[in-house]
Amino acid sequence: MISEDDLRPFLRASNKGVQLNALRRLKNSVIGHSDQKALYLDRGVQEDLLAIISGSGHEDSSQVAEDCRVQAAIVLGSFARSESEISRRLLTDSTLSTLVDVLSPATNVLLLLATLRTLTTLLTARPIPTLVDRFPNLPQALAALVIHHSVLFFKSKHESQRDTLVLSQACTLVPLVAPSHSSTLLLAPYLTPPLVELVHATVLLNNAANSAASSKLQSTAILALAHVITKDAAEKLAREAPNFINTLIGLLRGASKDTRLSAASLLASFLRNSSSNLTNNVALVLVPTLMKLLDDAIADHDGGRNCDPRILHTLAIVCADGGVVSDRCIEAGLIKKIVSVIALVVPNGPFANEEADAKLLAGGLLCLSALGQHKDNYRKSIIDCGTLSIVVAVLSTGNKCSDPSFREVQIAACHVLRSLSRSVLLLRTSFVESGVVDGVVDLLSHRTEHDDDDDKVMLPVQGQEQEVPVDLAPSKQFGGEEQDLEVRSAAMAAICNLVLEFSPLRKPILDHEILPLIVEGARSDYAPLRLNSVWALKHMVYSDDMETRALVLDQVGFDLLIRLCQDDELQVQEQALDFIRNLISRSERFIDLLIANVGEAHLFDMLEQKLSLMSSSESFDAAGGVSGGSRVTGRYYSEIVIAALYILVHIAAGLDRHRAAVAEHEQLLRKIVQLMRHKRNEIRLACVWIIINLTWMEDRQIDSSSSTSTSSNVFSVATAAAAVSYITSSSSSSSISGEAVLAELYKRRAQVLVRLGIREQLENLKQDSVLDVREKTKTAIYQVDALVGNVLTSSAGNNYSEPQQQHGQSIESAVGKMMRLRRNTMNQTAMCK
Amino acid sequence: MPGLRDSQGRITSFSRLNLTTALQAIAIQAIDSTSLSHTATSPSGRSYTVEEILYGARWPEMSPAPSTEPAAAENDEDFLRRKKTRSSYVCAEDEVLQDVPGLDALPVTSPATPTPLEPASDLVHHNRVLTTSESSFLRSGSKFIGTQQSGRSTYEVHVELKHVSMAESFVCGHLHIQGLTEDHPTLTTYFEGQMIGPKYSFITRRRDWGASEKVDIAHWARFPSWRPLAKQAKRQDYCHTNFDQRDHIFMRWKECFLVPDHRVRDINGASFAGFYYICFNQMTGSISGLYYHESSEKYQQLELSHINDHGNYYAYEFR
Repeated sequence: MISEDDLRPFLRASNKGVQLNALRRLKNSVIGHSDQKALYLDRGVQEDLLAIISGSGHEDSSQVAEDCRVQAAIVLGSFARSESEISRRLLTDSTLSTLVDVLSPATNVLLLLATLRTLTTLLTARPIPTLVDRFPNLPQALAALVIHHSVLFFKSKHESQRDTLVLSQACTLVPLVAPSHSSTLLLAPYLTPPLVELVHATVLLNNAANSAASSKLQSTAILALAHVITKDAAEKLAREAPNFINTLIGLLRGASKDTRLSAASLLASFLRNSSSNLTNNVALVLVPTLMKLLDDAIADHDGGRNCDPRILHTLAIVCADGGVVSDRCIEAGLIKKIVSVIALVVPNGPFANEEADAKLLAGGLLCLSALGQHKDNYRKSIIDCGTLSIVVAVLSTGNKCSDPSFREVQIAACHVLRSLSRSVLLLRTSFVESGVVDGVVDLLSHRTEHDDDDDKVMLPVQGQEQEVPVDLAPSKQFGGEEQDLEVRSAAMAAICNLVLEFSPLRKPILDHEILPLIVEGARSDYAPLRLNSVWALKHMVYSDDMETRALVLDQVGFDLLIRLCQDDELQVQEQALDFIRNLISRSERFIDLLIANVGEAHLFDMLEQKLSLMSSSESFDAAGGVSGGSRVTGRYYSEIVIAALYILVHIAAGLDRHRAAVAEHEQLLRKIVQLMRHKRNEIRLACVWIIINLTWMEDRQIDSSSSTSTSSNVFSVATAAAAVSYITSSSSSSSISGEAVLAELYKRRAQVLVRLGIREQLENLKQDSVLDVREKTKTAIYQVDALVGNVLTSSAGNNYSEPQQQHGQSIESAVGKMMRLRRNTMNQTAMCK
Repeated sequence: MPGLRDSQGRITSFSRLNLTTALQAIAIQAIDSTSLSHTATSPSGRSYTVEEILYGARWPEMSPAPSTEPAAAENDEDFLRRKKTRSSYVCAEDEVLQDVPGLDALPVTSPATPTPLEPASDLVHHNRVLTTSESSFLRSGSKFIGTQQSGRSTYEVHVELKHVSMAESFVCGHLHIQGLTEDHPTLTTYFEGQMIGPKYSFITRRRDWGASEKVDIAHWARFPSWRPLAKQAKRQDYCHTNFDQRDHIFMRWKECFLVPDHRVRDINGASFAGFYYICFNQMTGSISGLYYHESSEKYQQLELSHINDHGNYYAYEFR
């Protein structure tokens, strides 16, 4: 008999028999005793166990030495399976690296099993998004394990229980080692092929003989594959092995609940990742299976509290695209069912069973957000079921709960807000209490609060014996930062709709002074957050409320704005250009500010560059419609072009000098002529609007510039007249009025446009397939012809002689410059609104 | 592993039959070496990385991921961007993108395509609410001004469209009416409109709106532009197709609640229990309407014209 207090020296004994005995004693004394575990950890037993597991210092491969390693791994597993405080202390870099090193096909199977279980326990309690980054050999090691034991598994005539167990454990571990998307991508190339083989093999095997163990292996293997499969692999599989999909569909009717769910989950991954046309049919097949699983869970005595969250998560993916699939789910009462389940776990205090409850709540909210994406009446049903109070409860729990799984709940809650607020009606009726936004604003305004003492994890520093505590607060710990960014990004997406001009919450949100946070988000390196932030800013200046525009512009600043217009991400560019488009809409003052701050040359160069995004061959429907990249890329390119064109439309809708600035850039005009043949009618329409605005003469304009005439106005018009007279050497010009100068200017401008081929393009657009384009084209033709006569029918045609062309241009440029001179002396606030 | 490796120890067999053995060989290699990054050579002399073998062994006949576009169509910037975003985001075909003419023949989206920018872990929210085919007059932010004639009184009316979705045949906005009651110099309501087309028929079929088929026809018939349609439109099975490309769009506008406070139900001296039959002129942007409620004066006329905005269109899109 030895005192338990004295076990440590024996754990370090060189005699393996003594060591083994001590390990067994240790195991018996700690199992089920958290206080004992804490005590031993205090004494540093963790290092001893790790030393034994790694076999370091003893090149002893005797049976008893192997037994010691197995026992040590089991004891460590027992430590891991305890309250979070203890498992958190275990989770150090040295623990992880020791355990990861064990994962090799050469390892004794018992040690392997114990290690896999311990890792599973640790990572379930605390996911580490950057695990694969820190252990880059891990994917290969796991793949090697799966391959090695699969081969043994295939070969054995009878099921080999050990191999089945190892494979089950390894497959269970796969989703856990890669909880983040980026780590999944690192895992995918190594694990996809062996997992596909393994799933195949288990299907064949299960057809022959069905045992509980092999059925479990099958579902874990399928779930592992569902976790790692990428778009590439999914498409390849769908194309090359259609039978695989059919096999999975067959499994939807499998006897085991786990099998059905895992098959559904993998099929859902295919749906998300594959662009093949089978997707809609497969989605429809999945609905009854998933709804039945959900119904069964709800029918349970606990009312669905123990429902597998993957059911809801998979339903969310299946319903993401709306359409018939969502309709079916809604007909089957999905909304009410989800709300009944998640109402059981709404946080009105701490979660009873944190991890599981949080996952269930996140899955349910995610599914509601998916259902609410597309149709207003679904949104209404979701709100009528009381969803908003659940969302508010979740968001008001705020940052008190820094548990990683609770962050998923917060993200899902933000998604619900975002989906439900895609409706003017609901914004006006259901999103009126500021309580709805308080939580979202909190998520944006407070970084993760953390208790420094709780989150220190010991990490070894190279070359040092001592372990140095490292700050692993959730925001920084093991990729927690990525999750933190995802939370902020989701909150920002929810803000986007709530700040729209018709949202009653716009003012409360602005009053929260979150504008600096949104601007900060627009500077983020994390693209989704950057996108949502610029989006929110764009919506803030979508309004005739000039005061808010000025406020937003003041915070954003033109430097950032221009940088965002040249972002690496197409969608960010699009939003930033749209911001400018909204900013300068119906306001000469903001047009002036834009030109003055960005610089005219820089601004128009940038716009020209945007208009050139699509090479000429893509711009024309005649060319067969091949656009750069793909439909999606092509679509974003054209959205950018539309945004850039409307910036020009808005500038040209300003004052004469604004029009002059646009007209002066002939390269830009050439691009517009090209784009008038673009296949998207929105682009053709915007081009026509530019022509209309450039050739539009309103009496009031001339009146306003001369009737409100300050001396500088008179001066400038007179100078313009002088310039015209100088350039054209017209004998009568010295006496012409300001109006006549402008008339002459517009005429010359129209001539330039005609020379660039605009008249022919307009003629084509008279037969446009879209009524609106045809109508606006009529206006444009009327105005152009009023200025220069119908050049297409007149004998002069469009063969202008060279000197005339030059005149047209130089007058434009001379007058434009003079008008800009005048601008500098003008009071810029005079023209607000 | 005799027969699997050549004299230099390189893996030579990739056939489907030998798959398990080949995989085992790789497993052994993985054990042997710390890294799987070295290559093996096939009988044809092509070098394979282990990653390729893992894939290639399963699908030996597969070519590498299909090239999605002619090289010429890709400029450097595009290419760099593709490289950057490669595999970073899950990709999904976006239904709303299918309306782009001429794009249907494009190759399948490549994994390198920049996709809707959501956090990569988000498999659900990848759809954008891109609206298309709005027209110059019928778009979010469009404003109209005019009058409503009720008996001998004329009231000034402003309408501002807040959201237009041609795909859903849906429009909504705010309607301001001035001087209707003494207590409220201006009353504003939120209204929603149905555009008559494949989704909504000329016949209202809403018992709660109180209009019979006869009432419907009597009101539509007051619009001159409806008359050419009259004969067909009265048929039960008539479907008003291509509605958005016709000179006139017919609608029903139903006021839903007061703005700003939607909870206010009753206003002394005013009611919005009825709805408007609307005829929208797509060429001029003018709107004619007839108010209907069973207990109100018949055929109260709404006449609105579009306020010229010179193409000043705001950009907004529900996130």
